[in-house]
Amino acid sequence: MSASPDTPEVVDPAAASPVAPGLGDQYDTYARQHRARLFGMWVFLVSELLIFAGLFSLYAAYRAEYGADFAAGIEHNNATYGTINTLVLITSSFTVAAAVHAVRGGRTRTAARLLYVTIAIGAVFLVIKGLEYSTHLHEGFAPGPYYSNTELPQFGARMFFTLYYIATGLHGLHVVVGLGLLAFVAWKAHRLRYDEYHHVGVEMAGLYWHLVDVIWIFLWPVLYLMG
Amino acid sequence: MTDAPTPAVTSDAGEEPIPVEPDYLHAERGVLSWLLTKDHKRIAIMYYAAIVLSLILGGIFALVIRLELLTPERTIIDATTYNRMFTLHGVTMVWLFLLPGIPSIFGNFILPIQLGARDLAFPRLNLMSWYLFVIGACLLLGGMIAGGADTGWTFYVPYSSLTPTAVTPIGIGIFILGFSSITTAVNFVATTHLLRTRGLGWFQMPLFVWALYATSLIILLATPVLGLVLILVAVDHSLHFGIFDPKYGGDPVLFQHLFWFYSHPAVYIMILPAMGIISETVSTFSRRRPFSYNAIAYASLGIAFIGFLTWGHHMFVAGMSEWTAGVFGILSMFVGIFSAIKVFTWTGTLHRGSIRFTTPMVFFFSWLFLFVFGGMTGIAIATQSLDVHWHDTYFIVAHFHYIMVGGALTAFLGGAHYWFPKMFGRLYNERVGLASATGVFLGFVLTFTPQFLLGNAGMPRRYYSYPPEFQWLNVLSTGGAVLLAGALLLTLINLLVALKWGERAGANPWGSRSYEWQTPSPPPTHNFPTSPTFSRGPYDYDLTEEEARERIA
Amino acid sequence: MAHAQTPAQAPAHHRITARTNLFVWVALVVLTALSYGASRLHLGTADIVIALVIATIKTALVMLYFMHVLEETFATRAAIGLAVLLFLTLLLITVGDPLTRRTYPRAPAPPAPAPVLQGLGAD
Repeated sequence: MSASPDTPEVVDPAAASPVAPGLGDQYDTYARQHRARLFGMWVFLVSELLIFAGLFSLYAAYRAEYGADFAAGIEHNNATYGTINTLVLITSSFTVAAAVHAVRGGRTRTAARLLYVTIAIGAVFLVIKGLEYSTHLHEGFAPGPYYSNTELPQFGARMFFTLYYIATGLHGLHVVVGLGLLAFVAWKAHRLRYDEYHHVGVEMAGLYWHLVDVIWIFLWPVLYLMG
Repeated sequence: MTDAPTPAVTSDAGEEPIPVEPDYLHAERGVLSWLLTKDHKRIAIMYYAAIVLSLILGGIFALVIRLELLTPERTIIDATTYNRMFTLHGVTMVWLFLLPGIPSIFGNFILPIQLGARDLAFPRLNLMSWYLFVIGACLLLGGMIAGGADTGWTFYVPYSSLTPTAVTPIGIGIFILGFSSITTAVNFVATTHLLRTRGLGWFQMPLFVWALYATSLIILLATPVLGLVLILVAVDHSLHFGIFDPKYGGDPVLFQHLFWFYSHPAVYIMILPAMGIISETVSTFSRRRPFSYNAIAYASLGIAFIGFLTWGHHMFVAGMSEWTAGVFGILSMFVGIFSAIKVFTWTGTLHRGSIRFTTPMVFFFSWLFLFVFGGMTGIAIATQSLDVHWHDTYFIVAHFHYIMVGGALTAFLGGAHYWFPKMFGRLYNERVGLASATGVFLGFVLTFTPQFLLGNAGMPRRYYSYPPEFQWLNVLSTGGAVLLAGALLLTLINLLVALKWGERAGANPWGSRSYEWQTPSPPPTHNFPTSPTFSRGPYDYDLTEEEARERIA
Repeated sequence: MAHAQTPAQAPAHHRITARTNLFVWVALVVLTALSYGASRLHLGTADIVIALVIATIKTALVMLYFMHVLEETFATRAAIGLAVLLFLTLLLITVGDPLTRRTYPRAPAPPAPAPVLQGLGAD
């Protein structure tokens, strides 16, 4: 492969790899392109984190305004569903971390399988969430004017549930996007388009999925446990 | 990776080398070569077109407002239309011009060149940013055609949840524009960290890069909160979730906390790049290095950081606790310190300089006066007790227009003239430039100074009618607006004419030492004929011409 | 800036092994169980502190190991730190507002003043 005119001719194993993607004109080496893409993903994740910052702030403020009424809503939330979902997401984080580890070692087929498992586990999360939503709606816990529960009629509990739906809804949207990203890289891994030099897509998708997990790690106690 | 071209041929007089590559404008032809380009320079030009059109649209809304305010009662439109006019004026100017303006046009074009890079870190992401901008803009336009919104650009609840206007499509449009912004910021940050060319350390970069870097940090950290708050308003408006509606237990003040957490740093997104342009033009046109490079670099970061801590000063009379208001009042004072440091540094740069009164320099002096004036009125308003009198009056309107128009727009125009030769390889007419710059300044002062007086006398903002004793000031303001519009039109015509018929420019018509001037005008697609090494700083005016040229390999 | 032999892999990547990942997963599950158990004890305000502390530890584990922050550059870590700082700023100041609001009970309305036009006849 061509080398930059200023350094002696060296063989970059990354460039020699059969699955090397194109090297952007602005990069001199694959190593730099890899670092840039990973860094770019981190910078984007930092942005994603701030979306939820607003939501958590809203939660804290309403909790401060409504006190015990708000906490009563949390008490009525189903901690079992929530805890199972937490374990589900943590496990999916583990499997995607294992997939990244596999592809770094050049074991692309293993990585593909692990990615498929991650997607399946992520889908389980969504199913449990759906079950949970339908249980809540049956009990009359709905946002805004649709709220019809008679046991907890106070504003505090109602605001909690509105926030609950918005927070878990937004998180769920991120889960769906994450599953899409994972499916994309899983497909590429299935077609063996990655190796130990070129796999930054898997790492990037993994990072996004871990963020989804981290957000849930905080959503869970805040929405289910701190009653 | 480019093949090393044959060394550029120099003419006998030792002037700029004749480039061997076609410039970026002529490298490829056809509409698709633009719409599918990865070249940051072409993307910048496409942004230029879209953003100038947005400025014109926002200006039309402004003229309608000013014409309506010529008489105390109805002049040309009714009250409900008036509410939509000031809302759309604000939305268009903020999200379609001020926020993207300098970063997406001049940042995109100049930043990689100033870093000696061949493009941004993620060129395809950059193209996506532009498409997101266009989609967001179309949604906004669609919303406007569907009747627009009448909530003010601040979308305060609960009215924004209840008004039967097109709040949702406009909110979604702004959300998408936010994404466009964020992807650009990701690109700038990654490029600055990882694509600086050989020899270019952090404290050797041009100050425009520092400005864009600080701006990008704000964009990345503030815009997501806007995204969230727009989702909440859209959900409240369409699905009636009532997250901020007192009828369902909501607290409207919390909306304002989230909204202003973004919207105050947003004004620093607008002004920091403007300050970056000022740093470049002051140095070039006084042929001096900045009085203190570090002061400006660190002050840029300082503004970005402190800017996040001051949002509550928009909410002094909204119903927050007094304790919180007090905290914000104090923190709001601090941000002025960094701006002051910069203003003194730029003024100090002029000292013993070899000053040339070109059009960009006229814009600089205009900027200096207007920004300082506007900034000081900002400090005044940050005083909680005074703001009780001035809040929601024309005093506030005048303050932020001094900064936005007198600061951001003036610097934008300065940059447009400064980098015009680099971007298009042509020179604009200097005389017309000087006249239009002066016209902009005079028109601006006539438009907005009366508004300080109006606000202090008690005229509220966003009001359709006013007591007759305020009419003479309103008439003055409208007269100024017409003059300003004319001067801006003249500027546009001057630059458009120069595009086709301007005298051809060389690589460095201003004799600047900054890096973007060390490559042909317009630059080739990959910016530099060969990947450069920068062995000197961008403001090394104490070196001789030969030394300066040699140290750019 | 071409280096002689710099594939995308660098030695630091080998610090996090498959075993490390497994241990982290186990730790996360245990912490989750702990958090759930503690919440069933209903300790009042301590509930909030315990829950958030455990969540922070879990997040740190996910970030350092699963997300490889242990191997990451200063720039990345600084970005994360900045985000956390701003998150806390928004949260603390926003929650500070309702916590410090004082509402006063309405005072009884004062008696109406005597009419001004008393001397001009008619009511």
